[in-house]
Amino acid sequence: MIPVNFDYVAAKSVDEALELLGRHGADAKLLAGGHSLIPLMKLRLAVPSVLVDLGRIAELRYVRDEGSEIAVGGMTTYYTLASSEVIRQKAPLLAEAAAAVGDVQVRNRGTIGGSLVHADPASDMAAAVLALDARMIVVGPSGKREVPAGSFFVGMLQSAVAPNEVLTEIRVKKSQADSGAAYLKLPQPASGFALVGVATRVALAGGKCGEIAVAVTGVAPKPFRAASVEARLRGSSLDAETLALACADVAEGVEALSDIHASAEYRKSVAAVYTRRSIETARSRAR
Amino acid sequence: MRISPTGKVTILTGVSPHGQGQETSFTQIACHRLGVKPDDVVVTHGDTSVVQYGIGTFGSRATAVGGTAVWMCIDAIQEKAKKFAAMMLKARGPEQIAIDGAIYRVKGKAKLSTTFQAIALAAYTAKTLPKGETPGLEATHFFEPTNFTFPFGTHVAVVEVDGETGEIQWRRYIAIDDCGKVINPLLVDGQVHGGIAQGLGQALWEEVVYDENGQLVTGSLMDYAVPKAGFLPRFETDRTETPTTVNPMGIKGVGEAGTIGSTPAIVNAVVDALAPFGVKHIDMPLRPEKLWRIIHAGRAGRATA
Amino acid sequence: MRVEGTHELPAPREQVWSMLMDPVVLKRCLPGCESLEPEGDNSYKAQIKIGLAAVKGAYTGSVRITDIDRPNSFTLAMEGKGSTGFVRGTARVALADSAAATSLRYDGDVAVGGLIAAVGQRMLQGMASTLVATFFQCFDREVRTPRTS
Repeated sequence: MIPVNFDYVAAKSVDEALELLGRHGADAKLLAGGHSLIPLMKLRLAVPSVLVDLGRIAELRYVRDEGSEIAVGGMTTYYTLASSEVIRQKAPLLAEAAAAVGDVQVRNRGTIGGSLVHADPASDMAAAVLALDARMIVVGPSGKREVPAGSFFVGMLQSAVAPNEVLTEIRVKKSQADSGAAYLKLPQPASGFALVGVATRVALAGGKCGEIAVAVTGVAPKPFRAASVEARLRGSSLDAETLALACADVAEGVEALSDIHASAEYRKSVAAVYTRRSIETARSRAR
Repeated sequence: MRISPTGKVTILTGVSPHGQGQETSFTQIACHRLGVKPDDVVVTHGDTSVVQYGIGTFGSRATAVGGTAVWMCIDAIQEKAKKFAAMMLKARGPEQIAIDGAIYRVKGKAKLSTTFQAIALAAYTAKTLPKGETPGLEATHFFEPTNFTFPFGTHVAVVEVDGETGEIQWRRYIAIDDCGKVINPLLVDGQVHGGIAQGLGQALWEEVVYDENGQLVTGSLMDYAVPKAGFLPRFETDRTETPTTVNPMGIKGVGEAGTIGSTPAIVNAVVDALAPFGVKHIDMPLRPEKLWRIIHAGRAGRATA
Repeated sequence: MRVEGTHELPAPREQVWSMLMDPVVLKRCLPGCESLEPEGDNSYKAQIKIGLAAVKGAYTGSVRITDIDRPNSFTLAMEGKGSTGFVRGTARVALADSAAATSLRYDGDVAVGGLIAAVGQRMLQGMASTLVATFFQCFDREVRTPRTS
């Protein structure tokens, strides 16, 4: 099918985009990479009357080494994240998750900002930014604000970014020595989205587990940090028995998704297995 | 088959290739017999204003049946060409003419020869005609085989099933197929590869799902899983060539070889892997959750046994 | 698709019951409800615009309340048709006294058909949960600060 008639504006700046969003209200929608929005428009499930394209705003595409942190522009593509030397060296979890998204065509066009704001329950980038404790810079009519990853994902397909705001930047701390990260994903074979995706970050301190982050996507209506797993493993030697016990409850208390591709029971079970394997891989990379 | 005054070849065929490559293989047949270059051959199909009749391409039959019709058409073309050659070379009769690709010469007289292209021109300009012959150089042939051909083969799938998640890991995939005489090895390989991909797709991923109200719920390729290249194992393929006696070229078909071999190979491999749990059959597609449930039920059963 | 759960409400059972039966409250709390017109006894015609993220659909439908056992339980049946498909469901709603004041239990089945069901399966469960949660967020507020009908 083809979309319902719509007006298209290529915004030249974030300010112009915000002005257009303010002017058209609920009738306008921002266009980033388009791989989520355009198919919905072609099916006429989404019918914005004004499409505000962020694609020509060069100031939103960048990867910057800023000392202790890396700053990534909202319109940075998965391809850039996966291939950038800075990110592969200093925030490898972002690169690994970006490389796992969809396929080559999607990675060439899709953006980290678009993914995070769309807040798909199976978003790969969401798991990565959660595990990295990223901070999101959001710009709106009342100015600039910062949203930590932990508060960014509000519900299914609902992020903390309001319809009249733009996610301009994602900031992550550079990875430390003696730390490793990994992203492991069981893809749904048709869509490529994660049935289960687990991003982990492990820092070793004196041979034991120091800082640890476990973020799960695909399992719940929104991606989440497995705080109980982290608490059980912090300070431990990450031996096989402790690891198995801790990871078994990764989806404890979570209302797991269930659809024709995977039942809630299966997702929870695979989540436990993938959490364990992801931590093992992250730890082995922490040398 | 219609030869033009300059000796170019047009093949009008009732087969309707949609990727099987008869445009190439039929051209090869013509080049092999008539000694013409591939650029001098055109294969036309599917145009009902030009091709009298055709029932399509299926059942591994297009080359075995349609290709044989081309071969036999060439027999008729060459018979007429020999008559013209005998006339042009002042031989006693067409039985004196030997064909060597595009060269038509009088047997025993190496210097007395003409070309297919010269014969074609002579046939159309028709200044003189051999006794009883009409101008032009074309022939129509319908071929009805006396029997099926019997391509055969063996496919082996070696897999490992992840006991914790039910995911399938490839170890090897081997396919040895026999389609008789091979006209174009690339086309045969392509057919086998495509067939294996399709069969594995059916066995492992593709599924149309309706809910209990008859509502289709796999309504797009986001939910209906078509196999992608990265899903597939490395194919190790090889061939034997056992010609059929049903047609002069000894060719069989290969269009179905990949699908017929692959589906049972992979399902049987997984059933074999899960045999310790008492599994003798699993409905396709072999999705990871399905295998995971079998393994877990099997483990629970064994634990209490 | 099953939709079930329990919700605690800080008001006595009679009050909760009256508010559940009040079309003005329902119109305010049913997500995306643009109109709710009575159409006979315990039956309403509804216009609803619901959506999740970019996906929005306008539905026209009806809501019927049956098996009324005041103030304990009732059955809610609804159906709606719209541009993105159709929706049909029944839910049994039961009220009981609890520490918080009233415990509301809902237990239902929803069938979704048409385009959204054919291509949007993965969203449906989440959409249903979100819509139910939105309803209760609103209803909770109404219960705490009742406005006159």
